[in-house]
Amino acid sequence: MPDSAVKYVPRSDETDLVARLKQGDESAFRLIVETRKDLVYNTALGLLQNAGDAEDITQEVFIKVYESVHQFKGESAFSTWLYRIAVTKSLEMIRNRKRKKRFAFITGLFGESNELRHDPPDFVHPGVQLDNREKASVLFKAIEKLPENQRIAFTLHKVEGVPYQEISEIMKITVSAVESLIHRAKANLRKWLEDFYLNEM
Amino acid sequence: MDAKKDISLLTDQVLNSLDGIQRAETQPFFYTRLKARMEGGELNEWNKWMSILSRPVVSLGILLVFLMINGYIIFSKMEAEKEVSMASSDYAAMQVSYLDNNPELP
Repeated sequence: MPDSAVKYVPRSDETDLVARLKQGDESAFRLIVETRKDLVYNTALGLLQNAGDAEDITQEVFIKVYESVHQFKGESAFSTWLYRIAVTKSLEMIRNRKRKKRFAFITGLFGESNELRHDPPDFVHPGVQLDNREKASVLFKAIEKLPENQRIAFTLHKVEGVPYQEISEIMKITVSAVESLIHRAKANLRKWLEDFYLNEM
Repeated sequence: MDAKKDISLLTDQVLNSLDGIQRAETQPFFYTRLKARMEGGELNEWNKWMSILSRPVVSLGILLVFLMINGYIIFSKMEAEKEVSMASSDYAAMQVSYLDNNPELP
């Protein structure tokens, strides 16, 4: 039976599921993974823009859930907790990448040959409609240039469709702060895109 | 003027290109791969400790503590040696020769 055959669990059953997981019930863990893996994967993919890395982070998120479910007090929704772990893990990977890039640059100065030779290919999100793929690819390139907080808020809202209220809970900021982040993200993206197309002409 | 208008229009289209996006899905048999990773030693205690120890902050911290202990041992040893030599010199000063006390003896 393929993994994806498990059906969606209503949110009301979440508390019971988490309680069972805290008692070490493996079927509860499986149900949590099966019903929420795409939520975690899509979030990680939006931030990391790489399918392999997103799968890796999705696995790490569920390992973390398994190890530290006792720390989940139920003060926020379980999905909010999952989003928070997914965002934190994805950011750790982005920072690691940057560190490696810097290290490769420094060792490159001393003649070592482990420098990244070429940039990764343009990212295409598999969920984007066919006629929008090329434009979305440019947009993802621009999203990469955004400051961290703007990038998180914009990606959660635009790629994962998370409402402002839940983003505020994930990021532990006010709803108006989320609105401001997304407004600034759009302004920055517009500026970057206009410069990009001006240079292309 | 037209070029600027075109760019502005294109930018709007790009900014709206994520409208109607569908959620990306993991490859089939994700749970099987996850379980294999969990059982294959990713949660192994040894690996966990090694990953903590290999962090630069942790390893540099351990090195610093090691150097501090080393320094403390060397310093306290030097202090002890100093005390011993002072005590022995005091003792040496107390050893008065018999002749010193009896200068009239031949």
